[in-house]
Amino acid sequence: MNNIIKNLSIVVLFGTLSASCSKELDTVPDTIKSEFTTFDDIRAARVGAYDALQSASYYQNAAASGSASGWSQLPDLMGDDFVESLESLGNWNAMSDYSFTSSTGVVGGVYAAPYEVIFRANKTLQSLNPYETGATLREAQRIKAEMFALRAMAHFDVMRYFAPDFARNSSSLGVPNVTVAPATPLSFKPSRNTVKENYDLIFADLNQSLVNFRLGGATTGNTTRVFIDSTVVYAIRARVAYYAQDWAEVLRCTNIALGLRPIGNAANFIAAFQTTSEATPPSEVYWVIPKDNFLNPGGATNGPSPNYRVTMAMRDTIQNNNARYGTNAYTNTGVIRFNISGQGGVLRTLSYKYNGQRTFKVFRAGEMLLMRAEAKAKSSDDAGALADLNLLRTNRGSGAVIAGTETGAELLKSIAIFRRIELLSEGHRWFDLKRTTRSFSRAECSIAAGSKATTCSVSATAREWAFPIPFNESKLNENLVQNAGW
Amino acid sequence: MRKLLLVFLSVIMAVTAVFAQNRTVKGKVTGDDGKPAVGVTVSAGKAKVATDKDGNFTIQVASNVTKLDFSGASITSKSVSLTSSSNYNIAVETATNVINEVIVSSGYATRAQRATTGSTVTLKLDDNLRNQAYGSFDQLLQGQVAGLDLKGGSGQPGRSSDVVIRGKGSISGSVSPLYIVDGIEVRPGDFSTMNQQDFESFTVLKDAASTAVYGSRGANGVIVVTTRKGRSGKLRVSYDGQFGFTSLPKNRLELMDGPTKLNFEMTMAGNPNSWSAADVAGFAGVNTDWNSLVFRNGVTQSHQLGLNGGNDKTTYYASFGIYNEEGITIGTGLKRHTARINLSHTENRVKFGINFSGGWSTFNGTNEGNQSVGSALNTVIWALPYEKAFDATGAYANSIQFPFWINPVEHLLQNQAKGKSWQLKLTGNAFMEWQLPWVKNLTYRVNSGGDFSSTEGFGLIDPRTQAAAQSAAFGGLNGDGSISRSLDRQFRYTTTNSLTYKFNLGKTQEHNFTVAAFHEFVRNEARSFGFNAFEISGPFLNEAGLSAFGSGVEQQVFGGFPLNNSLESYFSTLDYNYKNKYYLQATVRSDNSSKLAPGYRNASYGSVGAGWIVTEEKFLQNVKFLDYLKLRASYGTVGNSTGIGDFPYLQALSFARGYSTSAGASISRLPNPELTWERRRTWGIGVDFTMFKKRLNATVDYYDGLTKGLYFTSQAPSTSGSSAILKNTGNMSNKGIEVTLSYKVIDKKNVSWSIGGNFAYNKNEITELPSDQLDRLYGYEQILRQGKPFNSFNLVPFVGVNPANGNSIYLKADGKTTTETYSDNDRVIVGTADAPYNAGFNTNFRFKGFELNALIVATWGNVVYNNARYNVEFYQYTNSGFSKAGLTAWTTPGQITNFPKLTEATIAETTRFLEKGDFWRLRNVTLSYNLPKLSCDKLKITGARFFVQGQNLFVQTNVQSWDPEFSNVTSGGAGAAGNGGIAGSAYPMQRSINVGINVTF
Repeated sequence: MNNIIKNLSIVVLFGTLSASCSKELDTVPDTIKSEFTTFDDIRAARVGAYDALQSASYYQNAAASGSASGWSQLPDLMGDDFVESLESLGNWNAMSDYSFTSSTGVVGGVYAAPYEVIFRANKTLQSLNPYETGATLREAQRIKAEMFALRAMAHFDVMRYFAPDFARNSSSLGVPNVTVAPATPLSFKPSRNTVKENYDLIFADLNQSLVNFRLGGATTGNTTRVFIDSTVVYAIRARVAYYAQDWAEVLRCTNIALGLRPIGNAANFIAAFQTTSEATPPSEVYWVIPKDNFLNPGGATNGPSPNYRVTMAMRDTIQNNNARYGTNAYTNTGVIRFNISGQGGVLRTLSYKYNGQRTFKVFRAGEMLLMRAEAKAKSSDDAGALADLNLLRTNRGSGAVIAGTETGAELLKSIAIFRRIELLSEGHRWFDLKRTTRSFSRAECSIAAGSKATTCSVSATAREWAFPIPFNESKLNENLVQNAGW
Repeated sequence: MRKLLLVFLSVIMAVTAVFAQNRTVKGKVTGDDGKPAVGVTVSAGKAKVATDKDGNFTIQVASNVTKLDFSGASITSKSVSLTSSSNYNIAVETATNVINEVIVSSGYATRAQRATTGSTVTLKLDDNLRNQAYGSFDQLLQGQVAGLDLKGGSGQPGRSSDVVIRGKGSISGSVSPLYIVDGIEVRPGDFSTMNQQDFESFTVLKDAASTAVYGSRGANGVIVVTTRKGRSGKLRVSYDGQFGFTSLPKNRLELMDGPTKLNFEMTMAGNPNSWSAADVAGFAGVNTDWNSLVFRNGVTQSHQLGLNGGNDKTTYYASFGIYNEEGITIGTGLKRHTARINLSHTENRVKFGINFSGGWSTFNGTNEGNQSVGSALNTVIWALPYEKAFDATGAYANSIQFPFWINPVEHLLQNQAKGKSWQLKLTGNAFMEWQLPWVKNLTYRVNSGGDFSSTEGFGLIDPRTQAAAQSAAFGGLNGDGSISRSLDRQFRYTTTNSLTYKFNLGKTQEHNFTVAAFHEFVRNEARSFGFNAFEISGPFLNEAGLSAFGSGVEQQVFGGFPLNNSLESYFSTLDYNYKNKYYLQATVRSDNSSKLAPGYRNASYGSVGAGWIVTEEKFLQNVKFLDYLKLRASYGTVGNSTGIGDFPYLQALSFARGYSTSAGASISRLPNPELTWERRRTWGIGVDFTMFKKRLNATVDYYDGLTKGLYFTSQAPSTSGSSAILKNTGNMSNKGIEVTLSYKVIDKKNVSWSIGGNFAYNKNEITELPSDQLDRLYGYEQILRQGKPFNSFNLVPFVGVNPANGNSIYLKADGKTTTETYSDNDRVIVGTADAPYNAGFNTNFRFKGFELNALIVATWGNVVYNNARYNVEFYQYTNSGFSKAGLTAWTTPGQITNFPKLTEATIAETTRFLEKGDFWRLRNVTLSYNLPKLSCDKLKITGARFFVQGQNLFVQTNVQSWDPEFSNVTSGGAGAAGNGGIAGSAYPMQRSINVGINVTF
């Protein structure tokens, strides 16, 4: 008995002591991959760059979340076409009432989200080199084209919030141009480039994108319009040129884009915002951020229970427009609903474009047509501008359409009104205000007036037109100069 | 067989005797309670030894020595004349109420307290402590140990606490201590499936000298649990049973009642809900007390049957326990069934044993620690007091403000009460000790064991509930109901092999050595998976409702992320004492962890500690008032590699399907090929003394800890993508003082009264961080600043309200001028979330069979950001449940108030919502009665104890919430590692009264 125990324990003792455990220390992760090592990884990196657009700071907009949603709903809820409703949980109140500061989360979000896209695009560009040959050459060129376009658009988007003005040759501070995925991310501390330098990079990238598309061929597998193709590149160029007031460039790019994908009819416009057609959007939709279980791009301003409703003035504008130019798609219940009773008996007008929609439309032909009309009007081609505007009226009309006859300032005013109506709740209004009047006032600005808004007007000199460099970014990168007033 | 063995044994003894110069005398010392007297000094002339944990001693007696002397802090000294016998069983008089010399278990070895040179506290679970009804045993430790800061935070049944020992030593790594049960690591957080009635003692190892033996796992301190072991003797059966009655405490965040609120809305707040006169008339007279609908008086019951006994070779302890706690929030609760068997057998040179326990628990919880409208614990506060929970037909009424929030009663009963988690937990170890025959006093020990837990979770959103409708209204996926189910399996095993050798040197054997060498291997593995499935219909609110009736089920499968890490260690300890007067302890340990970058995996740690029992010196022999005085000093280093994931050094690409149909990859974490251990070095000095005939006991410690190579996630500027790198960078310091005192005011046979207390002060400071990481906001309104404590709030001081216009007034950064315009540039540090001061006070009064115990805990010096109050004082939330303070809001010029006008946009980043976190709490009061022996004999039972106990009966604080300890809203995750100090929806910490009985047969 004793011997058995003795022998047993000797075996245990020396068995365990001498057993090498070093193998066990070399644990191998089975859910982590560290590097982009194959072309399939590069393909995934390409998709990953697009993925960043689904961020809650970019296009995602979960209801009542207070997410930044910088390019889906923030420009609408900060503008004058929407007003904070009595039902609001107040999560975007600091933004719509202009009480935000450099440490407000939304401000940090709209700064960081585009740079994440830029970082991923740069990383993909840097990893492509070994594949720019042989069988993968053409696909690599196409990926390059998409990455340059993404990089350009993300720079433009961040600039739209943080640059104090949009003049093409402005020497005001824009945002840092980032063209590399830095090897030492912590110590990479770029300064702000000027607005002019931002434009230079954006246009150069868009040109490069077109070059690569020519080399690589058209984007494949894009029936759902979720990837950038050359039409989208022209659309981005048109929008950037429009901000820079380069009317010739706007004309050139909108002509090409509309030539490739012209404006659709009223039914197409309505269909663009129906969940049933999300899988195969109508042709006039150029680019969508796709359906995702969690992408919910209209949370703040759309559907039956939004935090922000359409103002009474905007309701009247849409309805008057309807009356003046014939029944049109803008009043279809699939895109808007009028006078829905809300808390306190307020008759709310609610945007339904993104009710239950899980895709976000980044570019549509309607915007192109309106930009072209404006560019023509600004280039003293009132007749051409009016023709474009009437084309839109016709294509949005669902009954007898009455063509307009405006000229001069009236024509520009009509184009501006149509822009508000056509692009309502699609992430444009605040930028349009910033581009143009830089001031507005709210009529419904008290609980008695059916709104939680308390900031009733914003002047042209308000510091809020250029967002502050986020508090933490200033600490992490001391080279960033703060905007005036902050 | 038996005969042969005896022959064999006597041969060995004879051999031993031949080589011994002196005579060997053995024996056992027992106290007057019949229990072994531990740590008693036994002297024979110049030779001195101490009794071991079983009261046994072996001493070499020189031929000229004629008597044995027994002395010690816990007994009255005694002398016994030596006879020719070599075996002495001595009964000594235990000084009443002096705790027997405590055995300190490091988890690897045991030592008498006097031989311990580090800072440790051992807490024996007496009947009083063991019977405190907590779903999670760690709660027992609050206020008991100086330097152990425990924040309960919640009354949620079974929720584990946040425990921090001697201050937070890490920013991005874990700050949670290591829990060891019978030598085996167990996972914190699973305590709700463990039964503290099975525990014998806790030992808290606080400094590097005592935790160095754990090396890389010891940086945050160690809590060693020893389970109850069998004692030889005939079978003793014990039954412990109790019933508890819980109730809701008062909420210091006072809300308006129905009529007040309605009047407030109509007269002060500008009718935010735009009620018509008819609406107002309809609400008149409605005054719903939501608390009475959402909370209840719960019943807790606990029953435990224990079996204990054995003979001189084999002992056993077995138990079966049931614990059933109804939460005070409707629909919540914890049910637990546990069983344990501890067996040990000694035969000749071999001792082996097995400790095994299994538990099965069912838990119903509710969300807390957030500010979501989906949490019933928020909506109970935000619901309007003039609306009803049920409509005229008795159905759940929709909130007037639906879908912005939902009826909390419905959500709790129809959804959350049906969501459950089930946990199976098995912990156990087997050990064998073998005194090797070839070398005297050389012992080999192997201890191997595991901690297994398997947790299944189930969640439900019934499609007929408002929660589903709310989701639909906001474009969520739960509109047609959803279920989720998850399974999480975790297993960790630990195997420790050791060799221990004891020897004495010197003429009178005055140099006593114990050296030990260890090898240990720890492996951690886990898997999890789960799914969310949307759209359920038909009669089934489970999976059957998906497959058979769903109209196109949308499912998400998730999980898989395994734990996969290993730790291999070699370590060695040395214990030396000279004449039981001077003690020296040293540890070296070498660790290899799979978590760290190759080439940086190995680290060595070490400690050295010294103790001097001054009262053993001649010059103190005549100082009558001083019974015992020990000075201690120690220095050591320990490490940390927890809380950082399994492969933190690797760059990680995350692949996700989301964009279109193909997988997208992006860099989710940047690599750090130099990632290594976080190290904490501590030095400390301490003094233990006993005075005035053992009436006063005291321990005072000072420590100085410094974490170097701090785990800190360095944030890159956004222009580098949202990149962050886990680095070893920066230092953080924790220095502090701890005092523990106890005093026996009355110490008579029939009546005694003692008071005791402990106090700890910890000063935390970030002493170094990379300059470009400093001064940025971290977590939630907190800042990282060199020279300031971690978790320092950074807010603009709110100094009042301008009587002229009702605007808030802020102090500018210069500290002098005031402004009515908020600016981030005026942010200053206004206090820390982590309380520097913690204390516990206890008293025990005994009169004959009656005993009264009380424990008070106190915390002060911290601040709390009351986010829950912000949400009921925010200027736009006047249309929902609102703070009573709103009645004092500024309305007319000249009005002096601290509540700004209701139309001013409320800014969160100010000290307006910051509150002093100080509190003291009557944590426990127990009155018990022990049946006299005579009555017990009549009843033919060994003993019986009846008790009534009150928990959390009184709290003094100015924090406006249910409780000054609350569930945090953190961006860095909840728990001790989170930033803390932000009050969110809180599960109130209940008050309870328990009655119970302990009987032994």
